[in-house]
Amino acid sequence: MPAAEAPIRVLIVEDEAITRDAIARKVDQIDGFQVTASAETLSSAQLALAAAPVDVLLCDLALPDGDGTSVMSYALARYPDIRILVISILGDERRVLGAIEAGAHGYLLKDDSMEEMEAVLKQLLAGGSPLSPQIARHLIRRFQPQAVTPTTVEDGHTVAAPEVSLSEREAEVLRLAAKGFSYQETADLLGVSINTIGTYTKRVYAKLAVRSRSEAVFEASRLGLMDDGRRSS
Amino acid sequence: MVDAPHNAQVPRGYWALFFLAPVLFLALLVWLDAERPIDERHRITTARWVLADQLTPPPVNERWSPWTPLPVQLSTYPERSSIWYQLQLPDHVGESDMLALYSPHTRGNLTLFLDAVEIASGGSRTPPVAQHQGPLYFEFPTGLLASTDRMLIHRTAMDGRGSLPELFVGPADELQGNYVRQRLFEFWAPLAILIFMVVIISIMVVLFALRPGESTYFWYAATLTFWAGYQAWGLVTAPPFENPALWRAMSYIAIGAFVIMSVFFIHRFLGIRRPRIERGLIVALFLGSALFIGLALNRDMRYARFGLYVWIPLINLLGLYNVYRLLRSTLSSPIFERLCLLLITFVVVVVGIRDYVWDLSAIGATGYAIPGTTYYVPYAAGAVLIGFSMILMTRFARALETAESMNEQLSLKVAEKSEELEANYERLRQAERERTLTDERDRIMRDVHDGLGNQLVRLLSVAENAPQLREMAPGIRSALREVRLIVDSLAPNDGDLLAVLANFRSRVEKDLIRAGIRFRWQVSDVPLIEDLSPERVVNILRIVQESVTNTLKHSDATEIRVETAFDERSQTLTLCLQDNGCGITPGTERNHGGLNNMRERAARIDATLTIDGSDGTRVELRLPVTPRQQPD
Repeated sequence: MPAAEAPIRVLIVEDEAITRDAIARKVDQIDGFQVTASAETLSSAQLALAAAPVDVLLCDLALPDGDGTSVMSYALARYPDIRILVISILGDERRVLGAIEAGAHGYLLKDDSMEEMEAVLKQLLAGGSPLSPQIARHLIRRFQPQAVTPTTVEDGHTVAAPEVSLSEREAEVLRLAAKGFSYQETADLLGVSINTIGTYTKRVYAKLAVRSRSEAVFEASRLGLMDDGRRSS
Repeated sequence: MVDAPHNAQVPRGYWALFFLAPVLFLALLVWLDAERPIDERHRITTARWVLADQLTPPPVNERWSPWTPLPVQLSTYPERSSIWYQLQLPDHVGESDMLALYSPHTRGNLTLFLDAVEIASGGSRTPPVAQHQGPLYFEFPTGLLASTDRMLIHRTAMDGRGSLPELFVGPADELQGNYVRQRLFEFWAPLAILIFMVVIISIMVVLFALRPGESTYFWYAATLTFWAGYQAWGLVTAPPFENPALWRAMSYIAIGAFVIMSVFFIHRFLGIRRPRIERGLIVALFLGSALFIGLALNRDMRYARFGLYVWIPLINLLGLYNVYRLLRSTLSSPIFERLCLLLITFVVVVVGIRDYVWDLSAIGATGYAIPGTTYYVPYAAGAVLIGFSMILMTRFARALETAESMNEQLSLKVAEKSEELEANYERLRQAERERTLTDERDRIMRDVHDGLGNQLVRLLSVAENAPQLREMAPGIRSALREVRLIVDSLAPNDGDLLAVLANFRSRVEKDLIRAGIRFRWQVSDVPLIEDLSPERVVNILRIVQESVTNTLKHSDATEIRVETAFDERSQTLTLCLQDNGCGITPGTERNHGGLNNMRERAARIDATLTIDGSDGTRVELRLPVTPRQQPD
């Protein structure tokens, strides 16, 4: 986290010039935020990331030279604390969820007003991750135990994906969010403070990251792409 | 013992049948055996004889015995007999052109001479001597008696018994009927039974060849084979051996083997394992046979004593052993097969004992006469075959029934499987349809996103940044909302209406908050819905949006309460939006078009819409649904 006085550095990756400018204008108007760079393509976005650290990445998905998720992965690898929002036109499930898997923390709509953007960004930086019903639903499905089953690799030993599961409370928060309850309502229903809900949400995202990574490792070892130690013994 | 259900009951009537059957059977045989009445005037009552081992009639001046009333008991050489008799012709021989000599129970051979001329013979008079158990019948023209009344009989037999059997001389047309009937009883009937036996043996051998695991068939075939041998022995009139003792020994061996095989068969049939008894019986059979053959080859007549006083009594005891085995297992489990076999075996054993006693009485060992003129065991074979054929037929019928019921079960299973398969196919087709739909939706959404959506966003940016175009911005914004609503309705929803509503909330809440209206989200859990099609979703969402828009525009409300409920009985899902605004005053509805539009949309998805404006505005949508079957 940057110091309180220093502005939050924002990188916008968006190929539509008009939209990019509109978003940049709105972000600049928000107190404490500053667009320090903007990019039209994946490659220029990577250059910008390499050149100077940023705190927040706003990233479109359909870029002329490829899919925006690769920039997100790159950014996360370089700045593990970076917060990422997808710039979306419709906020529709399919497009956003892939990005969430890649490490994004939520999305902005291109036509969001300055106030709406401010609310999302502030919530994002306060540690809470925005949890739309669609995302919550996806996360519930993602953490279902049967999602990944142990697989026998060709040389006979069985590898199971490391089990990363949600606590009862975390799962409950997701379930309520999926039914449309707001953070405040969820907090009231569970008899906890809204900050606690934010903590739960954040933990869920952290577990998702762990799970995504370990599943990638699992997949790789299953496909025989990695030497996982057990095989050599 | 294979099984022993102790509560099993032998049907009461069975025991009556059990004891009655042998009695009835014997009575029937005695009745069939009884001679048709013959005119006693035709009976030969007096004869004289001379013991002479020669084939031509002895001369008149030979040392004939005095004329003696019949019957007489005579025996010659122990191993065969050859006696010449001169018959005293009855006074009355009738007026017929043809006369006949009739012997109902010959037990040996007869040759008829008139004076020195041989008229007829039952077969060979030199060893091996012909052997007739049953009747003999010779016809000759009456005219032959005109020249001589010297009627001679050369009596030959393969044992020592030389007694003259019962003889009648009378008109051929009178005696012929008796002969035919006796021949039927003593020859044709046993022959028919023998043929029947051979057929059954063939069937058994085929059955055993087809199902070698069922040794019951093999032992039954073996039993019948020896019995058939014994049966055939009794029907042969021209023995193949010169040694008559050997020929008779054959019959003892055959009947012994028959009964020993029957023990093996009964053991297998009842599932009894007594290997020591069986080994002992095989040894006994071989030793007994060896003894018979040994004695017979040495022309030692003690073979007959051994047969009569040792062999046959032991055979009868074995028969009783069979009855005992069958009785025990029938009492413990009276299934039809066992009842039937017990009955048959008992009949055979009783008949066998009768034959033995009859044999003893025929040689004068009992002191009293046993009714009947012959052995009855050959006829018992008929009863056995009929009874066991019934058993086999019930077995066959049962096997058929089992096969049929198994077939039925099989076809049921096949039907079940094909139904399952059909259901799987249906699911697959459904999945395929859904996939096609989803792919199509994806394509549309991509197009909307990349084309329409992008254009609208760009337009909006332009409008917002150009003062003269700014009033277009709300329109463009609502167009974008519209696009989002369509895209959302096309998104996969898994039948989850709450998810659809939740998504709707996330879309509109920002606008409501800006207008100072809060949601009171009071949804309760509803089941997943089978038929939550995009069409239904888009109509539900439009109704909800219209309702929210009305609240927003016209009501001065501060909150909208959203509730859901599911009624199990009527399978109806209720969605209710209630605001705390000014409601709708009847007659002053400003938004006719909007309300009508909502009703139309409700009708389109078979839902009913109730709008009540009396206390705030309450919009209630009742949607008949098919809840999704929860997987186990």
